[in-house]
Amino acid sequence: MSPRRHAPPGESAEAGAGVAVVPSGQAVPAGGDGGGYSAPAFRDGSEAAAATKPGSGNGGGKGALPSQMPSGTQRSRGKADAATGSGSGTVSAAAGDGEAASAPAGRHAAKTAAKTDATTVVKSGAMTAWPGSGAFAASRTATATAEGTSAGQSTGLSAQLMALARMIQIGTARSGRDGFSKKLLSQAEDVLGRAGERMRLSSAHTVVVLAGGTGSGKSSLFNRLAGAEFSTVGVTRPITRDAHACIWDDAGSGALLKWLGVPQRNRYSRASALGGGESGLAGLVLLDLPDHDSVMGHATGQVDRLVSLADVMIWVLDPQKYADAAVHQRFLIPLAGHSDVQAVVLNQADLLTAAQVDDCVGDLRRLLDAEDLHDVPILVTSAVTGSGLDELRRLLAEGVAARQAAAARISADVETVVARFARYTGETAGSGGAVDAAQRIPSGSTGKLVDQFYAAAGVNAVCDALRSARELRAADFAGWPAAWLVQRFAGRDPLRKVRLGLLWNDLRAVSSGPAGAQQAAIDNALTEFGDSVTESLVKPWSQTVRAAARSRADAVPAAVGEAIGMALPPEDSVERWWRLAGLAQGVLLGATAIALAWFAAVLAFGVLKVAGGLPGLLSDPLSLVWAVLLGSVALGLGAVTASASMRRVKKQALAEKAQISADIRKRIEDIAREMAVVPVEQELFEFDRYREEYAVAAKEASGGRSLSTG
Amino acid sequence: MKEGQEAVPASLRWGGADDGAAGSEAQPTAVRAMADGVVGGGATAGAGGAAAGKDAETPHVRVDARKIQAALTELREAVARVSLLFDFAGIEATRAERQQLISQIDDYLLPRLRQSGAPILIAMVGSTGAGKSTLLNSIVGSPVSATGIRRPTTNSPVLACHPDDEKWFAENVFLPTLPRVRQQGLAMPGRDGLLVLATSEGMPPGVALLDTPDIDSVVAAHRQFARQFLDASDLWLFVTTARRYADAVVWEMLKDARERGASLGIVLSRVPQAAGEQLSAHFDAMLAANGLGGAQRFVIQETTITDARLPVEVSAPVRSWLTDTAQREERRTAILTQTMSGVLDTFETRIPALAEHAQMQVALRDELVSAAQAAYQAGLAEFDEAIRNGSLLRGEVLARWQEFAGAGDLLRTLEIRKGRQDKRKSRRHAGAPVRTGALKSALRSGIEALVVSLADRSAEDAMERWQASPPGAGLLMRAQEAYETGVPAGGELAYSSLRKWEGELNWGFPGGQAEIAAALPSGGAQPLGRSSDDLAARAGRAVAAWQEHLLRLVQTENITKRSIARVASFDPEALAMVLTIGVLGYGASDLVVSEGASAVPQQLLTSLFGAGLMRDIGGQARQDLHERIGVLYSEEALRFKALVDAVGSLDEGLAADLYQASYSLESAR
Ligand SMILES: Nc1nc2c(ncn2[C@@H]2O[C@H](COP(=O)(O)OP(=O)(O)OP(=O)(O)O)[C@@H](O)[C@H]2O)c(=O)[nH]1
Ligand SMILES: Nc1nc2c(ncn2[C@@H]2O[C@H](COP(=O)(O)OP(=O)(O)OP(=O)(O)O)[C@@H](O)[C@H]2O)c(=O)[nH]1
Ligand SMILES: [Mg+2]
Ligand SMILES: [Mg+2]
Repeated sequence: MSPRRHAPPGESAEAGAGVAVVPSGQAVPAGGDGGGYSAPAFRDGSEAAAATKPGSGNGGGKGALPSQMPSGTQRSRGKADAATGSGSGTVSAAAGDGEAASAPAGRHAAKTAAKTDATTVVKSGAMTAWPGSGAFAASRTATATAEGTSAGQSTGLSAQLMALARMIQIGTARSGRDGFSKKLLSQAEDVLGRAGERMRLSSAHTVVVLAGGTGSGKSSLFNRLAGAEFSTVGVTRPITRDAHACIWDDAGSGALLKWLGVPQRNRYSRASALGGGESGLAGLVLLDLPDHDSVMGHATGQVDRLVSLADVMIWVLDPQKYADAAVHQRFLIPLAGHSDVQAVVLNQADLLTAAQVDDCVGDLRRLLDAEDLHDVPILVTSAVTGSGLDELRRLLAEGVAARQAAAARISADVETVVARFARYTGETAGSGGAVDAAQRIPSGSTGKLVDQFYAAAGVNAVCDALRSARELRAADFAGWPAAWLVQRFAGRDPLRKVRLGLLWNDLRAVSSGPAGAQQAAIDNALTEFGDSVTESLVKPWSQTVRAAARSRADAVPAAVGEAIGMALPPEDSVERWWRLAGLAQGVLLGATAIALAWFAAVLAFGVLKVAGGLPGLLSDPLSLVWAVLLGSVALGLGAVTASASMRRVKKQALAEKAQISADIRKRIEDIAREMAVVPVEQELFEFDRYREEYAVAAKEASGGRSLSTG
Repeated sequence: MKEGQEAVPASLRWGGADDGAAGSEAQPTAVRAMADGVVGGGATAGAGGAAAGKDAETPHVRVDARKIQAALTELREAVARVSLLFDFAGIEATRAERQQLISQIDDYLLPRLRQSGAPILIAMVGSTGAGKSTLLNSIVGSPVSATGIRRPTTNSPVLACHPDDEKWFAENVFLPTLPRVRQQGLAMPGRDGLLVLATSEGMPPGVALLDTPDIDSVVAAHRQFARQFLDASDLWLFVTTARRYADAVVWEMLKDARERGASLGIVLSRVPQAAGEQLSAHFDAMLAANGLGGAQRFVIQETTITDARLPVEVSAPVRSWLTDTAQREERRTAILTQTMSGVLDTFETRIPALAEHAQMQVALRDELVSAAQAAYQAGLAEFDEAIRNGSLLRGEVLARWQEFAGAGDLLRTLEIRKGRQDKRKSRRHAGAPVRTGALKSALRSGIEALVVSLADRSAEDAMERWQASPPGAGLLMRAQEAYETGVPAGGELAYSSLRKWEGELNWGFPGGQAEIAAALPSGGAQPLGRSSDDLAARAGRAVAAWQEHLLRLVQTENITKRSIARVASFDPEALAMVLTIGVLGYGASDLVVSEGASAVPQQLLTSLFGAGLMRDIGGQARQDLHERIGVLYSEEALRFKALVDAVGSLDEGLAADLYQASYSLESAR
C-alpha cells in the first residue's frame, strides 16, 4: 500500500494505451466508409488507416440509404467478432499488463488509424466512419468475451454515433434561425468529439470524479480512498484549486490523464499496492476536483470540463449544502439522463444523529426523484470516521470491473443530445409511423400545380389564338372568294394578311423570353404547392421543403416558354386539300364568270340583237334561263363548298388545338416534376433519412443503456 | 399603482394620522438633520417600553419628509408606468429592476418616511442551513422560527418583535400585499407567501428581526422572496458559516449590499474552535478586499444546539449589539440614514437607466412597425416596376392580346368613320366581346397574381425582419403562445383583465393575451408570413375598379389624336384594352420581349394617341393603380401594426417624466 508518484508518462505508456485499445490493428472501424456502410475486410493496420482518410467515403452520398442501415450494422458487428477471434490474445495481455509487448507494426498502425480518425471526425465534420469505434468495439468485445458477457453494445454504440454524425451533417446544412439550432449542433459535435477521443484512449481505465461544493469533503474522501494525504485538506475555503488524480494500476493511463489535463505533479499511483481488498479497483482513475461554487471555483469552468469528460461522477454533498441550487441547477438536473454513471454521496454524516441522517437522506432522495434522478444511488459517508467508505469502494469496484462506464457515459451523452433533436423529427398533425417521401405530397397537389403552370403560361389563350390563325389562313384558300372579294372591295380589314404573318411569330414570342410565363402566378403556384406539402411538417423541414419547392422558381417561366415553343407547329403550313378546295372554288368561280358572260352574251345577242349569226346557245333568249341556272348553281355550289370546307377547317383546327394543348400539358407536367416536385421529394427524402438516423441514434442509446445496467 | 395613489393623500395628511403631531413642521433641528437625508425621530431614545406611548406626542418626520414623500410618490407612479413590452437583451434584468424600484419605494422608503418612529427592521439573510432561524431563536430566547435538518427549512419569513412594536407591522402599514399570520407560542413552519408575526417579550423594543428564506437553495422562489424583504429592511444581518463563507452566492449578496450602501452586520457562525483565528482572519481579509472591512462582524463558535437555540453566551454579543442599536439614538439614526440615503443614492443612476429603457421601448416599437411597413413598401416598389416595364405582358395576357389583335377583332372594332356614326357595328362584332372579355380577365388575373405574389414576399420579408430582431421574435413568440393558449370565448373579459393584472404585476406590460390573440389572423402568428386569405379577392376588385376607371377615361376624355378621331371611332371597351396594354408595357425599352409583342400596341398607341399624350395618360393610369394597390398593401402591413398595438400602449413622455421625478427627488433631499 505504499503509493508512489506516477512515473513521468513516457512514450511507452502512451503507446501502451494505444495497444490496449486496438489489438494488432486488425479491428477496423465498423462501417469503414460511412457512406455505403460496406466494410471491406482489411488485413492490416496500414490499410485500415488509409481507408479511413477523410474523403475516402462520402457520408451524404447516394448509397447512404437509411434502409441499408441495419445490414450495415450487422456487418460491422460481424467484423468486430472476427477481430475478437484474432486479437483476443493480445487484448487479454494488454488488459493484464499494459506494458506487454505487441507487434510494433500493429502498434504503429493502430496509432495512425486512431489519429486519422480523430481528425476526420473532430475537425472536418464530414463524418466518414466512426473513429476508433471499431477498435473500441473490438477490445471491448474481447474483454466482454473474456468475462462471458454479451458483446452487442459497443457496435450498437458505434452505429448510434454514426447516426448522430449524419444527423449533424443533415442538420448543419439546415441550421439557422428557423432551422437546426446551431448551439445544439455544436453540442452534438462536442459529444461526438469527446466520444471519439475517449474511445481512442485507454478502455482499461475508468475515470471517476469526486465533485461537489467547497468544504463538502471531496479531498478528505479522496485521501481516504487513496490511503494517503495526496490532496490538501483545510479549514479555510476553498482549498483545492487543481484536479488531483490517483490511479489504481496506472499502466497505459498516461495519455488518458494528459487528455483529462491533470497536472503532472497531481498524479499519484497505487499500482504497487494492488492486492488485498483493493484488487477490484484496478483500472480506477479517481479524480479530486476543485469546487464549483466558491468565488474562485464557480467561474473557472474546470469542473464543467472534467465532469463532461469523466466516465463516472460522484457528487459529494454534505448536510449543509445538499440542496444548493449551485449543484442541482448546474449539474444534476442537466445530467438527469446519466443516472447510470452517477452516484451521490452524503458526506459528513458524523455530524448528524442517525435519525437526522435518515431524514436528510429521505429529503435528498425526494429532491433527486423530483429531478428525474431516480436511479442515482445515495451513499452516506464520513471522511472523519470512515463510515460508509467500504460501500463507496464497493460501488467503485463494480463500476471499474464492468468496464462499461465509459461506453455508458458516452451512450448517455448521446441519448441526452439526441433527445434534443427529437423536436426536428416530429410532425405536427397526427401522422405517425414512417411515411414514404413521395406519399407526403398530397395526391391532388401536383395536378393542381400543373394546372396553375398551365394557366400561368396562358396555354389556353395561345391555343385559341392558334386556332383563330389557322381558320383565318384556311379561309384564304377555302373561303368562298366571292365573299372575301366583297369584303375586300368594301375596304374591310386591309391589313389582315400582314398581321397574320406577324401573329404567327408573336405567338411564339408569347411565352419565350426572360419572363415567359407570368412569374408572379408561377410563384404563387409554387408557394401553394409548398404549403400543401408542408402542412404537417415541423419547423426546419417545413421551411426547407418550402424552399425546395421554390428553389427553381426563376427558371420555370423560361422552361415553360420553351416547351410551348416546341409544341407549336413549326410553320404556318398550308394543307393540300385547302388548295384543292381553292381550285374547286376557282372552277366554280370560273363557272360563275362563264355564266355571267353567257348571260351577258345572250342578253346582248339574243335579246338586244346586237349582232346576228351566232349559235342558238348565245342567241336564244331561252338560254338566259340556263345561264342564270348555271350561275346560281355555281354560286350555290361555291358557297356550299366554302362552308363545308370551313366546317372541316374548324374541326381540324379544334382537333389541332386539343392535340397541341395536350402536348404542352405533358411538357409542363415534366417541367413541374423536374423543377418543383423532384426538389421537394429530395428534401422529403432527406427528412426521412434524418428520421431514420434519429431512430437509430435514439433507440440504440436506450439499448446500450439497458445493457450496461443489466 | 394603488400604493402610489394612496401615498398622495397620506403625504398631504402629513403630521396627522401617522404621527398625530400637527405642529411638527416647525422644528428647526429636525430640518437640519433631514438635510442629511436622515429620517427617524428620537421617540425611542428612552427606555424601550415607553416608545409606543410617546409616539403620539413626538414628531418623527422632518419637514422635508413631506417633499421627499411627494417626490417619491411621483417617481413611483412614473416607474409603475414603465411598460417593458418589447424584448431586448437584458429585459429580464430590467423588469426585475423596475419591480425592485417599486418594492423599494413601496415597502421601504415610503413607509419609513411616513412612520419614522417604527422599530428598526433587521433582516437576517444568508444561505440555507447557515443558522439564521437558530440565531433568531437564540436572540429571542424562545423557539419562534422553525429550524431543521432539511434544507431549506424556512419558507415563510418570521418577524420577531416586542409586543409593543407589533402595531408597526400590521397589514395596513407594512408590506400590505403580504398576508400575515400571528404566531402563538411554539414555532411552526409557515405556509408559503405568508409573513409570520411573532411577538415576544424577549425582543428588545425598538428593533424587529426578520428571519428570511434562504438565498441559494433549489427553491428559486425563496430567493425572490428574500430579496423583497431585503428591500424593505433597515439593516441586514448577514449570516454565513465556516463552510459557506467563500460561496459565490454569498459574495454576490454582500456586493449588492455594499452597492446600495445598506447598513450591514455579518455573522460567521459554526467556526470550529481550533481554527477560529485562521478562519476569521481569512474571512476578514476577504471582506476587506471587497470593500466591506468596516461592517460589524460577529464570530460564533461551533457549539451544540439545544432546543433549537445556541447557548446564551454564544449569541449574547449579537443580542447586545441589537439592544444597543435600538436604544442608542445616534446609532439608530446613523443606521437609518445610511440605509435610506444609500437607497436614494442608487436612484441617481437607476432612474436614468430605467428612463433610457423606457425611451428604448418606444424606439423598439417604432422599429417594429416601420420594419413591416418597409417590407411592404419594397413590395409596392416592385409592383410599380413590374407594371411599368412590361413584364406583365407575358403568358396568358400576351396570348390573349395576340388573339385579340391578330385575329382581327381589334381592327374590326375600329370603325372608319363614314360621315356619321355607324349603327350596324353591334351586329357585326358578335365575336369581339368574347375576346375582349378574355383579354380583360387575363389582365385582371395577371395583375392579381402579381399583387398576391408580392404581398406574400413582403409578408415573408416582414416576418423575417421581425424574427431577426429580439423584440420582433419575442412578440411573435408571445403571439403564438397567446394563440395557442386560446382565449375562452365567453369569459374573455374577465380572463383578459386577470391576465392584464398579472402582466402588470409581473412584467409591467398591460397587454393581455386576449388582445394579442385577437390581433392575430386565424391560425396564429404563422399566417402573418403570408398574405391574408382574402387579398386575392380584394386585389381582383381593385384591379376591376381600375379597369373601369380606364374605361371611363376612354369614354369621357377625348383622348384620341384629333387627326385620327376625325376619321375613325372606336369601341370604348376595345380602346380601353389597347390603352391598358399600352400602359403596362408602354416605353418598356428595357425588356427584350417588347420587340414582337408590345410593338403592335405601341405603334398603334402612338398612332392613336400620340407619344406625349400616351406618356401622360400612362403615368396617370399607373399612378391610379399604384394608389389602389398601395391601399391594399398598407392594409396588409396593418396586420403587423395591429399586433404591435395589441401588446399595449407606450407612453412617449414617460422618460421625461422619469427624469423630472428623479430631479425633484434630488432637489427634495
Ligand atoms: N466532520 C466531518 N468533517 C469533514 C468530513 N469530511 C471533510 N470534513 C472537513 O471538512 C473540511 C473540508 O474538507 P475538504 O476535504 O477540504 O473539502 P473539499 O470538498 O475538498 O473542499 P474544497 O477543496 O475547498 O473544494 C475539512 O476541514 C475536513 O476536515 C466529514 O466527513 N466529517
Ligand atoms: N452544530 C451547530 N449546528 C447549528 C448551528 N446553527 C444551526 N445549526 C443547525 O443547522 C441546521 C439548520 O439551522 P437553521 O437555523 O434552520 O438554518 P437556517 O439558516 O434558518 O436555514 P433555512 O431556514 O433553510 O434558510 C439546524 O439543524 C440547526 O440545528 C451551530 O452553530 N452549530
Ligand atoms: Mg478539496
Ligand atoms: Mg430558517
